[in-house]
Amino acid sequence: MSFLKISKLNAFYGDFQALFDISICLYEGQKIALIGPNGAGKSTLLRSIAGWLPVPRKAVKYNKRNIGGLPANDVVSLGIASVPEGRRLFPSLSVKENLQMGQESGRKGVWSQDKVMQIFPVLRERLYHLGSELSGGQQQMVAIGRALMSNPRIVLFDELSLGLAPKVVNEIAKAIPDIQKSGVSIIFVEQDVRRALRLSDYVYCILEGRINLQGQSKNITFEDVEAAFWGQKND
Amino acid sequence: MIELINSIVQGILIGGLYALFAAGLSLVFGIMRIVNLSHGDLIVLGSFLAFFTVSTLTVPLWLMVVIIPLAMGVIGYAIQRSLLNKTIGPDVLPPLLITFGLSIILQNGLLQIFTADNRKLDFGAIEVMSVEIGGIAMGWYAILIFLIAVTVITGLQFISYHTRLGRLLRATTDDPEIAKLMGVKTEHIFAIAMAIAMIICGIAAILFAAWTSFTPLSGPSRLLIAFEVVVIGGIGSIWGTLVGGIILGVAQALGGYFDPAWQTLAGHIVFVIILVLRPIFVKGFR
Repeated sequence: MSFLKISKLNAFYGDFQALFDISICLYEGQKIALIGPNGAGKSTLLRSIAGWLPVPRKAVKYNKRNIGGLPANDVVSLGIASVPEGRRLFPSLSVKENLQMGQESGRKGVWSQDKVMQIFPVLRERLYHLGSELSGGQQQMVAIGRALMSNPRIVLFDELSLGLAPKVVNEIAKAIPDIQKSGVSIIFVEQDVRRALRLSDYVYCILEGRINLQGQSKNITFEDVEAAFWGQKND
Repeated sequence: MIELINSIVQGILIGGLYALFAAGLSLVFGIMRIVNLSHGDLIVLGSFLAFFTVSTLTVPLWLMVVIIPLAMGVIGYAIQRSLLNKTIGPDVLPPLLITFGLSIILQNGLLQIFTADNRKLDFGAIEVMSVEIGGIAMGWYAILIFLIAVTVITGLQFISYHTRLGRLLRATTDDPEIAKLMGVKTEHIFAIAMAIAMIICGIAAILFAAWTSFTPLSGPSRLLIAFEVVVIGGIGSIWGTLVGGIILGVAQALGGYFDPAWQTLAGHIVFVIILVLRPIFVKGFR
């Protein structure tokens, strides 16, 4: 049973249409990867779900409830948390305070500061540093921890690995099973196609605001995606 | 020489009142990026409310001192929630226009109700009592103003860095979009920030109402002082407002020491000098 369903979503920035009739299904415990070139609309899709963009109420259905266009603070308290593009920690807050911000949704659950420290031990000695003093990888860990602190059912990851060293990305990717174990489903945007296919169960390729390839990750090859990127039909 | 030192001390003490004028303006600009052009008129509104409660409603002084800041806080919350929140966005012009309009409404409304007469709050003997330390005479009332200013600013600093509300205020200042994404009702936080700013305005309004006389048109000059203090002390810096207030107070006192006609002008000149030099040497007294 799908518990997040996007149906025929059209999204706009002013007069500019960024998404055209996008339909996506997320099942409980699933990991979905969104891939596509820059400006294809992947981030826009995540933003539409998170409540940053005014989209029709019926376009996003979650737990049998229409939540499209609800304010972002309501969406997160329903259990959909975000790791925004570029991390966007609060620069004048310490790591500890940044994590505390994740609890503002008021959702109860298993995630706590200690549990975040368990999956990202490197943050332990950084607790009282400002968010702006951390390396990119550590910032990403805080951003993920901050999202988890809201005890979400779904986490929307925008750009899992952008601007990070491969070693750091692997460290973060290693935490994904732990995150899933707490009953979290994931939709993530990833530039690296091979990594996206490896980490996900299901994949959607987005090009110019439209889905032009989708399927089980294990059935899709790098070459399929490449063909989809260049806009060629896969016979 | 002793007279010169005396002037400087007076300047420092009155700097506390200037800091109170500025703290609310700085808070509101820091968090919501709203330049509140009606800030001075809201202070004058507070002064008139204080005057009205004491003289017409004959409420005892101690009770008025409690009621007015709270009432101003409620007014602040209501204005933000019902009016100013709707103007916040990428465009900086709507909040400017709305607060400018609010300023005109307040000035003329007060003029209608209270006429253009000079008013002053009477605090009794404390206004003229003074203490002499080493040949420097300090008015008790000026000392009281300064102590209240330091207390208010320390309190504001404490709230900012040691409470959940402070964390929410700082997070919203940093990035309102992400704060909302974390589940923060930013509209509410904005209104709380305005309420805090207006509580401080209420305190400043009472102190100012007993310090000098005021009319419904006194607002813009208070706004000017607040602006200068914020620019001198650094936008969004809490202690900076106290430093800015003291610098402006001392500049005016020194100007007045050399020539009474120079009192106000000296403050403005110091402000311009700091405005020009500031980018060169500091980014705020943080």
